Amino acid sequence: MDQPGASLFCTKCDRELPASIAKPRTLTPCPSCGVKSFWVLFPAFHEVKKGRAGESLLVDTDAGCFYHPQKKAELACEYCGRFICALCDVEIEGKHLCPPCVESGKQKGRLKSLDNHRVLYDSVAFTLAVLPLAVVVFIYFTFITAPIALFMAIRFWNAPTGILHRSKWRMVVAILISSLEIAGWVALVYFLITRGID
Amino acid sequence: MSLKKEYQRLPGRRYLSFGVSRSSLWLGKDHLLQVINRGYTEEYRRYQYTDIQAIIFRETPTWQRLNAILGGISFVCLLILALGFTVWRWDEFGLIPMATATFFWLLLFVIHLAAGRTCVCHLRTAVRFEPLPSLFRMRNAFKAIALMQRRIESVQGTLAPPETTIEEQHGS
Repeated sequence: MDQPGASLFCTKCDRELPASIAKPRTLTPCPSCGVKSFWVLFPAFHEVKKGRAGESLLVDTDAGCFYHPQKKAELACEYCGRFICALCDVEIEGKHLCPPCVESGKQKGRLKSLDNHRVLYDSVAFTLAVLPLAVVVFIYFTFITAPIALFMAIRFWNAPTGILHRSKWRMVVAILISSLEIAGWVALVYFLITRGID
Repeated sequence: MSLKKEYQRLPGRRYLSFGVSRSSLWLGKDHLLQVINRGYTEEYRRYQYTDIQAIIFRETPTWQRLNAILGGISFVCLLILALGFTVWRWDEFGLIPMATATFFWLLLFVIHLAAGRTCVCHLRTAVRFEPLPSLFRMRNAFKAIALMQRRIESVQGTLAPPETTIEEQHGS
């Protein structure tokens, strides 16, 4: 039943579970440690996937791969148009790309499916605006944090937040509260100056 | 398709690193998305449905152990409260703090009891063996796996001969 290399094993003690004992989709006790596991297997478990090696050039008139001149070109990269062999072909989001274009696509954020990290600027701005107020001891820090929060909220208003849907309420609250904090500080400074002059 | 509908939330969420980060799972059109939110950043891991070979649970004794600890503390608190009320004749300055502490521990105990058994869940692909921290309660894990199973099998097909689904097996 099992293919070589695709074996069932206990996730507690790492001992291999014989296929006859580890029945898929049944709570199966490990013969070694006795811990019960629950397996859900899918057809991919039994498939042996082989990578494509790229076909060698047969005749001189065949177009060669840009990166492997000895390999036969199978298609053109959909970004840069260079001829690529099966080895260089990377299929992402339904497009066939060459490895350098994948790399540049990731860096420039053109390939959403390669995006694996996002900074949540709205949360940063919200915390900078609200936290010093919530912790009363830090209220004097608003002198510094309020302008930073306002700047971040405006600067990153259109910046992408998380991949999952996030509304802009944090940004709005950060702008409102930090504006009020700045107004408060301006009023306080004005009051102190005018009182000092009088 | 709007961004909101692009992903379907799966049951289960777990706070990690003392609540600093939290993990959740989402069903996408062609992949499973694991989101690790660290407060000010989000990290994403994608698992294509075609690549998923197996999902593995392992029952853990955490639920029983925590039940014993929380139950024990609650029992001791109740006992002290009862003794303070009947034998030691505490006034309200002794009874109120003790009653508050007892209520707190009892509440924790009941919440943990109701949340159900715990497990560890892993996802297996040809090159990875990844933990799924958000699925650490059996109840949530069963629901999430049933949804994942349906989606993965719609892409990969089912193993022959057809077997019972996780929902049928557990009657949920």
